[in-house]
Amino acid sequence: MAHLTAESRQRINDIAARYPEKRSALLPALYVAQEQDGIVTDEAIIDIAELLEATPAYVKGVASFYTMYYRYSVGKYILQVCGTLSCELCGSGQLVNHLEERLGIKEGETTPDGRFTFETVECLGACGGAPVMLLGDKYYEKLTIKQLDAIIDDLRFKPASDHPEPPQLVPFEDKPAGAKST
Amino acid sequence: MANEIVFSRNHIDNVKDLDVYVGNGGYSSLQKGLTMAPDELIELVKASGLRGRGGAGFPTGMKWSFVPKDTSKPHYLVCNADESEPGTFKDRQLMEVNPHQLLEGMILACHAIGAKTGFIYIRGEFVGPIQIVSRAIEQAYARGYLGKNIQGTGVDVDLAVHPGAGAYIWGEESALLNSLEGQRGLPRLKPPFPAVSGLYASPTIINNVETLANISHIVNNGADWFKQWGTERSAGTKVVSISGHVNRPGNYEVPLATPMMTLINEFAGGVRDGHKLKAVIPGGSSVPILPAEKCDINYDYESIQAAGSMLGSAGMIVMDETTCMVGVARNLVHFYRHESCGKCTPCREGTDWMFKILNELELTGGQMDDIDLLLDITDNMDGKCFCPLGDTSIMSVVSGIEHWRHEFEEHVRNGGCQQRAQNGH
Amino acid sequence: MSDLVTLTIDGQQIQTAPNTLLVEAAAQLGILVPVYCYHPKLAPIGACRMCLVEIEGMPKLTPSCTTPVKEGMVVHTQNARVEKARRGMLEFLLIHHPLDCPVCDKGGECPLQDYTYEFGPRKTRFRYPKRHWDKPLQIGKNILLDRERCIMCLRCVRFCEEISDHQQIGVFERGHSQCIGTVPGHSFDSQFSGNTIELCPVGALTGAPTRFFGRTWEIQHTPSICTGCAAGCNIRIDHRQQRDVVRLWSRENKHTDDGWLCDRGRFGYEFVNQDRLKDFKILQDGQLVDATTQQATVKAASILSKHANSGSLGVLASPILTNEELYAVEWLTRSVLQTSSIDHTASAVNPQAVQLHSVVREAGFRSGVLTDIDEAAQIVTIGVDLSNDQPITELRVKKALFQRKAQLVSLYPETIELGRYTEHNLIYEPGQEASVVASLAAAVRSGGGEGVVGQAARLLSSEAPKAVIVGWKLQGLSDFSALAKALGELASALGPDVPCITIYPNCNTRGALDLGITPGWLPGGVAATGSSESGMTGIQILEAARDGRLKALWVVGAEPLLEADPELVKAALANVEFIYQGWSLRDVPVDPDVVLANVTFAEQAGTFTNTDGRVQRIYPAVKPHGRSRPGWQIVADLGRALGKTWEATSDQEVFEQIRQAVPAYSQIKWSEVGTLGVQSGASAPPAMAGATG
Repeated sequence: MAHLTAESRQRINDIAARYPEKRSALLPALYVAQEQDGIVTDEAIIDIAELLEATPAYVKGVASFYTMYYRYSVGKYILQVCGTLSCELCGSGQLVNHLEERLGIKEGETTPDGRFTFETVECLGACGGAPVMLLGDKYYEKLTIKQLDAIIDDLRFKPASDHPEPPQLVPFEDKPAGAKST
Repeated sequence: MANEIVFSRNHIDNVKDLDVYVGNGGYSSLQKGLTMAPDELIELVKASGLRGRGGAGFPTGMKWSFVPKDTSKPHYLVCNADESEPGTFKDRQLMEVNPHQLLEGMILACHAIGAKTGFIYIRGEFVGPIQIVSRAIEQAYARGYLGKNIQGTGVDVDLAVHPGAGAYIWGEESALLNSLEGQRGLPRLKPPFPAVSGLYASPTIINNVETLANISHIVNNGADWFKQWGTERSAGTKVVSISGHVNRPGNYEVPLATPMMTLINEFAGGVRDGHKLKAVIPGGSSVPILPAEKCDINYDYESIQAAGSMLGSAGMIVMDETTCMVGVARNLVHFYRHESCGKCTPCREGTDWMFKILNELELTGGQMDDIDLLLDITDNMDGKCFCPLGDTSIMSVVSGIEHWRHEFEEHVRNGGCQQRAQNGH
Repeated sequence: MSDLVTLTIDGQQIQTAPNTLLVEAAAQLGILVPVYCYHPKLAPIGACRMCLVEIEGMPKLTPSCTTPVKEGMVVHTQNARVEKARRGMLEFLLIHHPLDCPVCDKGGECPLQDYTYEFGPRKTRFRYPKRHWDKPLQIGKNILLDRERCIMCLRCVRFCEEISDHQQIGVFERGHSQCIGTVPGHSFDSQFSGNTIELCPVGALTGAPTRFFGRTWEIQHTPSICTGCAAGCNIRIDHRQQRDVVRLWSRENKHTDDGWLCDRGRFGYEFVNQDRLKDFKILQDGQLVDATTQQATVKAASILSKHANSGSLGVLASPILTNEELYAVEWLTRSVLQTSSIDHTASAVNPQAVQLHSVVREAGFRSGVLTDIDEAAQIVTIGVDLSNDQPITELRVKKALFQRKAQLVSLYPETIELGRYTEHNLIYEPGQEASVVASLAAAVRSGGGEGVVGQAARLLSSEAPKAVIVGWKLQGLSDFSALAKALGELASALGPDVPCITIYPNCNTRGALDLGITPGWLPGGVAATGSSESGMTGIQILEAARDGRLKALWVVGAEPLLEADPELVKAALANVEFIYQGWSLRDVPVDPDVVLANVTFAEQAGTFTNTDGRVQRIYPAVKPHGRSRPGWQIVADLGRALGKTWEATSDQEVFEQIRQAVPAYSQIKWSEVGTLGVQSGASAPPAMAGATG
């Protein structure tokens, strides 16, 4: 009994067809599974193994190597605050403290209503915008506690069924941040 | 003088769009580059003195020349856009602002090394760049800049984006290839080197985004033009990412050998107001920390090395006098501990142990002999790890204790970090 | 010898083959470089960093397990710098290790323990809580995992990837939280799982059936041969003071096992320890009661003499008995009892199996040995599922497929495990062997053809060296002539000198055939004449007993007779005077009239002949249970009771007699059999009487 839906399986097969070797589709396939279930389940791992001609143990080994696959249930909104050096120098610690206080949970936990998971993560590759938070697809740079509160307020009262567009607070500029000629 | 090469079109509105890019001279290098013999192209890049911009600084043309000519296997080009080195954030901007410049460079590189397929491995968190580069690829296909017989030159190149999934794969190119093959991101045994046996055991060249972004300009303007910037051994410009305690953090494309203090004081607007410089990590988290008094140097490969550090990926992290150097080491070792793949013993266990000691020093003070123990652990790791990740994970500890040993001792005496106690985190 | 490389290691010069790894070159000089991830049968990965050495002119220390020798290299494996690195590496490995050696099965034979003692730090500098995991985890039927002891050398995972291709275990997580594991519902039940216990250089993987078997230093080792199948895998019997068998361990012999064991063999030793016959017994008033050796021997002899020379006695001997035991049984049956109905019990289970060699010989193949597989670029398996029929030989074929990219053609009624690695699966209806082999032969001759057969034929029509493996599951053996003809066509189509390896069902089936434990043929494949000419086969013996045409049965060894049709066996045994000679009464469905207590392979000396004719010795590991004795001694007693003297007084003397009787064994020098065996000569065992008719 397959766990992945026919649509997910089809997507994985389509992706696999793009590579010289099926197994190259493994990372994208795990994303497909995560999109379907919110996390990567053992059942999905077993299905992917079959589709890509690998074994479940192999697929689980790959899935658990990379940090972007969740294997335990997470909240609807995952707030990832970068804790690596530039962000820490620029005050990510205060953001973390504030989130812990505001959400009443520790780093790595999910609020009881299942709405928020909050993590500190390693370098997000946006040190110039430190401190940085990643929420869904979006980077929030030079984030202040005030802005953070606004983000949480906005998400907190959305109906659970509503898939929101994250608020556009600090859009990344298309232009370089500086380099004025002197 | 700045923004001469890879950022030269950044001021153009919406240059990520193909029409705008082409309207501003984009893709003009293809007619010339794709009609050159591959060897000629390699020679041109060799002559330009371009060195890999990912971190190791290996001469690009020489790297390309390692691809064997006599194999029946397909060749591959892989663009390393898995930018994850703390302090480095240039590739994201290069892709978001001007994706076609990267594609143009990749098409030329593919031609030079005889590859018909290229992959752009973009870190999974970079959803924006993934979308932008994917869209650029679609546009390029639609207009015949990709695919079969590009612009009538008879050259075929296919490019595709491959999203990563969260792992600091570093300049360890073979780990990136494993990841691209759907494996755990572990470094491979060398030899064979990727140029001989890389992706799918085929000849493969892996280049950084910035490296590839330079190529079209070199083809258009020639090696001598490129060498007008920088020094003999550090030719061209470099995008320097400046972050930390500065007024204007950001990416700045400057000629190599620009004075480091100019970068900090003029480009980045100086150390944040009211504070003074304490230390700089000049080239991403994998290089030794320089104290302020050693920062009066030119920003190029040789000068930084002479000062005791490395240019690396050109991610400058600037720290003012409020910075606790024990905390810096703790922070960076935590990063390496998290990113260690676990393959080799010293990196897997050494990063864990170092973190535990540094964490205790920072939080509760630890013991005085922990400082020498840390140095001994770094000695047992140094040069003994499987790949550079482990070997470089010790940099902040070694240079931290070398220059600021008294801070470590104070932590022991004070039962932890005073500043942290004040800041309440 | 100019192609040798000369280098210096620790001041000693050595000449060695190019591409030799430094760690191996050092070993050739007797220099121990400690290793964990390195294993000679696995591709090197350079992960544990234990084997770092200093090479003059190189700035960093170098892993000797991944670095090949180079002309003029000067290597130091024991200087202060190397020793500090080694000590540091051991310290890293130990920071999270539980140091629970006192309760660890590996203690005493643990490289982590040994190297720590020899090279490691004396005390820990790690002051923090260690990593903890739930333990032990039963990750497979036979395997327990203790993640806290694991040092991540990944030998287990690499074995499952490179050797068995049963990737049921994987590496999960990364960095300091990395661990070995399985996916729920997909446990580590590979039939080769037990090899990972041996490969594991620490106590992370241990055998579930052997948990807490004892302290390794109280265990003694005796070389022996696995009796699980006909591969003849060399094993080491581990026992406690010759009392009981606690463990079987591999003992590498490149001719048979290549260093591995399957789980069926490794864990299939309980029959040695349990339900053993300790005493001879006789049936009195419907009850089996203990008897003296003499009482039982006399009673058995009287039954045998009553039916001797009358055609009313049948003899069934197990192909798990030693050559010496079988030879004695054959002597008593034919020479003393003048009885021609003698067969080995496997023939009652697989009546076709005995004809295998004749079929192959008639076909014109060269008589192959297992190591021929190592030379072949193309392998054809016919009527055999090695996965079940001879697992260790399946690994040999996999090695050819994985390491040398050999190609496989499989002819079997269903898709076999090895069928995963080939597009050339010729699947046929059982019984259609002859026609599918004939059509393949025809297609090879014509250089191709339609469908799967055509594709396989195109592959096989190349010049590449080939090996054919034929197994006893060839049902078409009942139509001997058609199959022999078809195989003959294939042999000639494949070209001259193609070796054919025959896969027999039991550990000494080949020996039983060599020694005349088959009707119509005397030891050495000499056709029987006169009264011995027309004996009954195993099935015929059972049927005749059931129907009252035989009056007495002498069964030596219950295995594998009990795998035959149970109704027939029971009816046969119940209807005759039944002499049973064996090591256990378990599952024997009828109380025998006399029970003669025989030892198992673990308690005696002797020889077995494996599937490709290799004669290998076993040695007594544990003491006989009670009064049980080696079979040839029991037979000698029976002979004496019948007034005939059996000349031999030791296993060596029995073997000397065998040498004289069996031409194929005549060149074998007892002193050379040693612990690794000797290949017997080319003469083949005989066909079953009547089969050619």
